[in-house]
Amino acid sequence: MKTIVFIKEVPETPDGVKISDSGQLAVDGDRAFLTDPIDPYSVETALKIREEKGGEVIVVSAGSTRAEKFLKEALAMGADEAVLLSGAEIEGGDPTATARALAAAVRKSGDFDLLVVGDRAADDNSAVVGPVLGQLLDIPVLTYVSEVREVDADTIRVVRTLEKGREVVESSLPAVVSVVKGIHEPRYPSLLGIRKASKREVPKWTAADLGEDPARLGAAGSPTRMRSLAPPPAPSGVEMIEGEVEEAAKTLVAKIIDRKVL
Amino acid sequence: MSRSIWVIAERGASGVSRTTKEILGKAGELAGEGGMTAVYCGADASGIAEELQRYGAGRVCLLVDGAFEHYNADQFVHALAALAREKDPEIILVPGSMNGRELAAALAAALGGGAVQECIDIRRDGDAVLADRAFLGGNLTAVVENRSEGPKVFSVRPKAFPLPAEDAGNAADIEEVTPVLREGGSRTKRVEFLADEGKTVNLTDADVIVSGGRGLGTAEGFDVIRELADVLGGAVGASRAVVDNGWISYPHQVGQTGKTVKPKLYIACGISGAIQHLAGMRTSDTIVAINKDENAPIFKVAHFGIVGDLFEVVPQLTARFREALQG
Repeated sequence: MKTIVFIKEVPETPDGVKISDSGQLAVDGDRAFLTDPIDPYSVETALKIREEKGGEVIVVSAGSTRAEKFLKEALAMGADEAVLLSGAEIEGGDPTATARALAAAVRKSGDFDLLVVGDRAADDNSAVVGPVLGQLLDIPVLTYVSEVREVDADTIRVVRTLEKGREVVESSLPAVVSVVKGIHEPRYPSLLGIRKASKREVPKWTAADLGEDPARLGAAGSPTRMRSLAPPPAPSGVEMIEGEVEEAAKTLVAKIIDRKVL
Repeated sequence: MSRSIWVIAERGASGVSRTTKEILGKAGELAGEGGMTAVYCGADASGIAEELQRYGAGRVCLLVDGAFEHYNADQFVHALAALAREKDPEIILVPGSMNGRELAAALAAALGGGAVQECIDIRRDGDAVLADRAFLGGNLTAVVENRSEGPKVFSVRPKAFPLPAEDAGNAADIEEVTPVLREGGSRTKRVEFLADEGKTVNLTDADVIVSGGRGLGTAEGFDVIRELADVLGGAVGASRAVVDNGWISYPHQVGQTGKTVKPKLYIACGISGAIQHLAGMRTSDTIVAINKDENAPIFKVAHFGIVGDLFEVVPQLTARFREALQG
């Protein structure tokens, strides 16, 4: 069973988040980053499957060289290999352009059984990469997966958590799975794991290595472009209702009735 | 010839989903001479076309096949992409339910472009089509241009647009199209569906939400919240802290890792207002906060606030609302 997990760095806070010259999400260089909070869940999902079925877990990220640190965190958790897709042609893309780079990396790495990605990134919140990978690689997609029930050589059975209930779905492999938090409690990396990972070299693949047309990657290849990015309009201000509880409740109810929201 | 705007219609608990209707209203505004087409995939389309027509669709395109009994990306995306390649709509609007967001992303990719997800507004600027959407869990709002060369796909967040009035006089061209299905069938198969137990918690559709936080103290604290919600015909929400404490189940959670809601009235009781919670409810029409701590951040986004003990204030509100709504 060969599983490829995709992770990404995200800014720790909204401060310093801005638009690049090409209309993509950018962050001032001096800001702190972390691995997307969903990433450890994705990695854990793949590690659990390896424990049961054997095989290997490869972790891939596309973007700045900062992400190398987070790939090493995944290696420390127990992933076998890591690859960073980097370079000016790949960085700074929207989720669709980034997914194209990831799909090209999957093709380059040969046969695989399963792809795992977080259901949505904490920065752009777009939930695009999983379904796009499914289309680009012509494999089935299973989103919002909260449980992997069964994996065998050519099928997977998962639980998708939706608005009104849970859907148990069976799919052929290879497939792409997007996971939600809580699927498995991620393990902490061992000290030995951390020490070993720190010494590993993470291979870096560029657009040329991927054999993908640079016009489809990065900022140049992004089908979406931001025009502005700003905090939402400030609230109009709160009206505090004072007085004894009974009086205050009466006043508040009258004001709400006046607003005709009921 | 001017290109059409598509609305992908989705079935709700009874008939066409509310979000579909909201989007039909918006699509009517955006449509030019090419008009607006509602496209529905399902195993059974009874009543759907008539309802889409009443909500303003100029054309209704029905793709009916047993392969669409349950949503599955394989068949839905295949059939819709084939039809989109043939008809070449300018814009495709998809209800931003969970499956809808998956569909939007996959459909856009199948057509060579990219989707803009969970839009809260969509408008034109010359030839460009722009959408507003939240980034970083609602801490930032972006204006995004969809520059996809083919059809521009957007998923739309529930309640982004008002529910349009029904127009019984509107007549649509209703067409049934034989869908182009994926050869070999869907690679995914629904094995079973485990509906959430008890009363379904549908926070996304609720007009009124009464939410409780850490200030409730215990799981039993939710009793006063439920009473107020019952009187208002609303749903019960919760902060992440109390869900983590096990006082109430996850489907009630509002916020970045829970549901994003936009009711007409949101009453936050004993919720301090962590940024992740605010991200999930700050666009509600009217926000009321009840909290002991006058410095709680929830008051910064509220329209009305009462500083006090929720166990005194909330039962009073319940009594007053009961009087007012009966009168």
